[in-house]
Amino acid sequence: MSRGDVEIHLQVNGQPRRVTAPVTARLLDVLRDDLGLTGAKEGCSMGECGACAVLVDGTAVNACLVPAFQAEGTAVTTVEGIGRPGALSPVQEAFVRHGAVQCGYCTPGFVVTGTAMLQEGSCGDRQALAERLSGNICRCTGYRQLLAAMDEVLTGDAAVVEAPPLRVGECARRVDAEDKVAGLCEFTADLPLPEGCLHGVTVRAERVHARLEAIDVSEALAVPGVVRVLTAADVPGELHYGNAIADQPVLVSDHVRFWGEAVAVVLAETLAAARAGAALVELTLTDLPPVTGPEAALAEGAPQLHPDGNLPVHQRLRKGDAAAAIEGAAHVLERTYRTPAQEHLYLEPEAALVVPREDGGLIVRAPSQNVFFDRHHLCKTLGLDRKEVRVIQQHAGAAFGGREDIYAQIHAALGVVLTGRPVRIVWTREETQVASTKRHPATMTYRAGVDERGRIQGLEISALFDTGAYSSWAPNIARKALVHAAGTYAVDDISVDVRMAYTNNGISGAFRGFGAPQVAFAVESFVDELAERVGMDPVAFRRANHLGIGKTTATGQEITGSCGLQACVEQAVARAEQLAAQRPPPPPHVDRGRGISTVFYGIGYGNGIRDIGSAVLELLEDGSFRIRCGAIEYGQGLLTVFTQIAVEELGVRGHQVSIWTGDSQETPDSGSSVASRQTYVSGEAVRQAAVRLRETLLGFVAEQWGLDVGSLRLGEPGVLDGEGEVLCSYPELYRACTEAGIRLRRQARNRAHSTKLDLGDGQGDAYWPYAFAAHVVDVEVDRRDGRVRVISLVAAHDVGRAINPLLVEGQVTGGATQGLGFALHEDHRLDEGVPVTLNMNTYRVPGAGDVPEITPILVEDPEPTGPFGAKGVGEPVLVAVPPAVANAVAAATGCRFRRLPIRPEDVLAAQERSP
Amino acid sequence: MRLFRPGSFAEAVEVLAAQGPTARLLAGGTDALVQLRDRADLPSAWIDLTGIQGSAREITRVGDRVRLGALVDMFSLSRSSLVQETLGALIIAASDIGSRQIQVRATLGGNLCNASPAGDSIPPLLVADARVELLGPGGTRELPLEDFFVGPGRTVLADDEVLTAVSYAVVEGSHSAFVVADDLAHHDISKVSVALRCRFVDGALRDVRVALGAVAPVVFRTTAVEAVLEGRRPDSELAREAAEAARAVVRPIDDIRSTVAYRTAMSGRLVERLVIEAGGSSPVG
Repeated sequence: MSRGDVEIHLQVNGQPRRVTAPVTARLLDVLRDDLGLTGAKEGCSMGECGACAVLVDGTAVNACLVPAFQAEGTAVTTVEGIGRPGALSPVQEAFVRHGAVQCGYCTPGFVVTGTAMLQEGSCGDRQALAERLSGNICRCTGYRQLLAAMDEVLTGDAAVVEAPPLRVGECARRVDAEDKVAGLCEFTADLPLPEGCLHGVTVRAERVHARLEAIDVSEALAVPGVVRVLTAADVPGELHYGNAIADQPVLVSDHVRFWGEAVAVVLAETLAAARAGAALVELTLTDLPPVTGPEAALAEGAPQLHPDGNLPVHQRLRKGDAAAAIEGAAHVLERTYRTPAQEHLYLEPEAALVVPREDGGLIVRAPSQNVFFDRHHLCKTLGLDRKEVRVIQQHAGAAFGGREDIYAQIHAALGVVLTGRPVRIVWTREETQVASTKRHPATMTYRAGVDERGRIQGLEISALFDTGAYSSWAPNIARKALVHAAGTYAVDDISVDVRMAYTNNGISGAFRGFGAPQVAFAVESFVDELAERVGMDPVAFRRANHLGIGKTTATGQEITGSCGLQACVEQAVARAEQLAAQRPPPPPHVDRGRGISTVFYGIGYGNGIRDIGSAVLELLEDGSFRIRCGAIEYGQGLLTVFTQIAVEELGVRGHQVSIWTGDSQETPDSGSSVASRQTYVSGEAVRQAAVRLRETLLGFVAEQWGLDVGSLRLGEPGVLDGEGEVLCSYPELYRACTEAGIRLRRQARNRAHSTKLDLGDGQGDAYWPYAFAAHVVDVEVDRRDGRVRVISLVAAHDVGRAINPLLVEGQVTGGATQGLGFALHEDHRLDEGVPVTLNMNTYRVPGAGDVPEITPILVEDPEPTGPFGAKGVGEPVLVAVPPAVANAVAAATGCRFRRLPIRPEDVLAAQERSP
Repeated sequence: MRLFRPGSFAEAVEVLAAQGPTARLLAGGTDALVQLRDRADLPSAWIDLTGIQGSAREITRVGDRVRLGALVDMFSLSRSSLVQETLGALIIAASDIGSRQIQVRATLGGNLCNASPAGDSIPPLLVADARVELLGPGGTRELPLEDFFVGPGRTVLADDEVLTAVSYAVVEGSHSAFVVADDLAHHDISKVSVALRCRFVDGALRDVRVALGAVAPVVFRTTAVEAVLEGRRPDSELAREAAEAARAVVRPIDDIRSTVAYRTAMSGRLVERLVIEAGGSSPVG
């Protein structure tokens, strides 16, 4: 035992344990690193998120804030000690049943808190329950399912119900839920360290904009345990990478473009040595004038951040003659709207574990959103062939678009290439906060002419997005904004300009909605303002202008089918009115208001991009079926949905089908898990593969037995004849087929259709299909402090067909909650380029007490090209929320807020201006 | 880094004297472990106070005062019937400090020594004439809590001293209240906080104390607002006057949480609200 170490005796999950740990070790370190109990997760390292909650002598605490030595003599219970699959505790069981689990990263913490609550007994009404749960943050579910589950557990009303079957249309339980509630789901940082594994710590330039003159690594290399320091000079392949434009260096070689940009990576035998080394890497930096906003970036004489200037993207849409149409209109209005940078705040910080293969290749594990993109970037930058790189997606603690960019994977892989040893890199929350992408801040000016009857005659839109230091998905996001800028309205004369400017403000990239939330906030606020100008009711005004079957979008695309927009509006408005009628009047200091928004959302990549879902269905030797698909599960429920589709099409039972996803070597490339596309695109590929495998199997049996193929079907025990008699079991069928040389692995590829937009006028069939939605939000604004509380959110979504309504509702409540955060709270702030919201104490997201009653309404207008009629839902739900909130606040206060988030500061100031 | 786990405050003071100013006191760890992450220079030693039992963890009535040991945690504090009966404002504040996982670990002594301008436990104590007990090599000294804070994160606690307890005055029949402005439903750091304590004599406010948090480098008592209220009936006119006085005494800043304008306005509005609510609590009405 070295000086500074302490010996700690404690009971863990009923077992006496003895650990020697540094004085500075936290209980979380001892549990995870010394005892291998990785159920408790590290999310923020400062007691804000609760993902590391454990019971110490029966009391739930955050293990990240407990010095390990203070656990001396205590009894610690981690999630692993609470229950296990097949023997779940009541809390775990309720979470599974209620769909309270998505990505699973926060889940162990909620299980621990819930267990403590169960021991305490009832804690009061729903509000008290929310407060009691408020030390745990969930970024996926929107808390409604967690609250419902705890309510049921505490009131003892746990219904013993059989799990619904894994069939299409059923509220089936997630296939990964039991592992997740038991803390058995392994995220990248939970994986056992391979022998000889090095730890990497990133050295970041703490400058907004600077020239890197020199890097001195000599002192770092002198730290015992430090093995190597990686710099740009070590990159064997192309230094720059990028999703659309290769403009981002793996490590800075000469030009620091944002605060916190990676310059070097210190590799060492221990994390402590790597940290010590990183602190000693000396950077010589010369400050350059910073570019802290897109307007400044485009001003004359602005410092140029990239060789091709500061305007990497300018996209245009022109249909008819907008200027002339506005000129001749009865009413003309121009307004400007602004939205801030929003952080995904998925609870798992970035991580990568890369191990060398014996043949010189690499195996990369990370919470990626697209293992094939990661492989592409790794091959390019490291100069490797794709056969040499296998990327395996580890369970992801959510993603929301943020993991469409590659982070620690390249650095860890570079370390492996140079040292021949495994490398693990796990970022802190602060690193994720400064160096992962954000939703683009945007400024959008709308000008419209409207006739006396409320018909929009012409519309001119100009939007300027801040893409930050690098482009990430800038052209694609600009296009999504371009296509969606006019919202759900048919306007003949329209012009749209979307520009993306480079600045020194971090990096903007993909985030649930992908450019649409910004323009939806603008257009849906603007439409309310137009309605007011014309003197029309906002719903009537929208109806007068809405898209529908036979109408054309701004890109000239005719809507021909699956358009549930009017049904969404009718049902959402009716439900909101019903709910309001039951509500007692507000106290005198509270103003209520209701707002609506209607949105549409293109599913899939759009713009003619090859949008292919690919899946394999196979019969295995043991007689079970397996889906293989390169798509990614990160909490949205894709494993479950694909299983339901396969089960439905095959005709077998859920337990007979397993699924393998996200492996660049063993699963077919099915594109990114983005754009709300996987159910629609890859789900259909799964369905078609299932059809092919079924036809293969039944065809073989029909031929062997000399029966009519139409009389046969697949059942649970095996192939059944017309009378339901078993002709052969699946293991028998496997053997017979194999002997006969029949391939039992059938693949299907499904392509989503869209056309490339014309570069000049932005015209074309941008996406196919479109999802539609209408949200009605009721708010209360407290005149005493300007606080806005959303009291009801009715979200009607035309999803085509809900393969699993429980999962769809989880997308609705979770997406809506992120939308509420964007509307009212979240703002990733930079002070002249220096990020100030570095962790969850300053970047605040909604907790259990901030989420209103959310009423999902699923409208099913089947989409003929989707599996069983399904479209997508993951993103449109977030898109619809902020404008509905803003419109409700305007209704309550008489003040229009054109900048998000709408904070009490803004509301109070507006009220004081217009008493 | 070395570790010491003294069994008493006296022993802690001895260790502190021996280890010098680079040693750091530690209790619940909810602030200390966060600060540890941000610091390049580790303390030379940790002096862990959580092994200290007895009065350090007790809440007791001592004559006309209530004495709270420095190691009382926020959750126990929020559930104390003695505090509920004598200083309701402190119950509200303790309940609002962090989530339950934080409350069960965070200590009152730690919250005071952390000296945040937005520390929620401070305003209720200030309006109850709180005094802190500091133990050093020369023995115990006692001083008003008002004199304890020097600036954000800074107190008069000497390098060789330990805060052992805080006590507040019990005023029979007094009314106290605490209110904050924040953003999210639970456990947000206050943008503005206000505590008020008073008695009612024939419907008029007496012995009025008002303290404001998060609107100056330290939480402070405001005699200007107290003077407006003293001896007068709590009606809406008086509330407006007090609000105006509050707005005049605050010196807030723009920061990540709020703005000068909002904090100034809310200082007035929260004072106004507390005065009107006090009117509702007055036995005369």
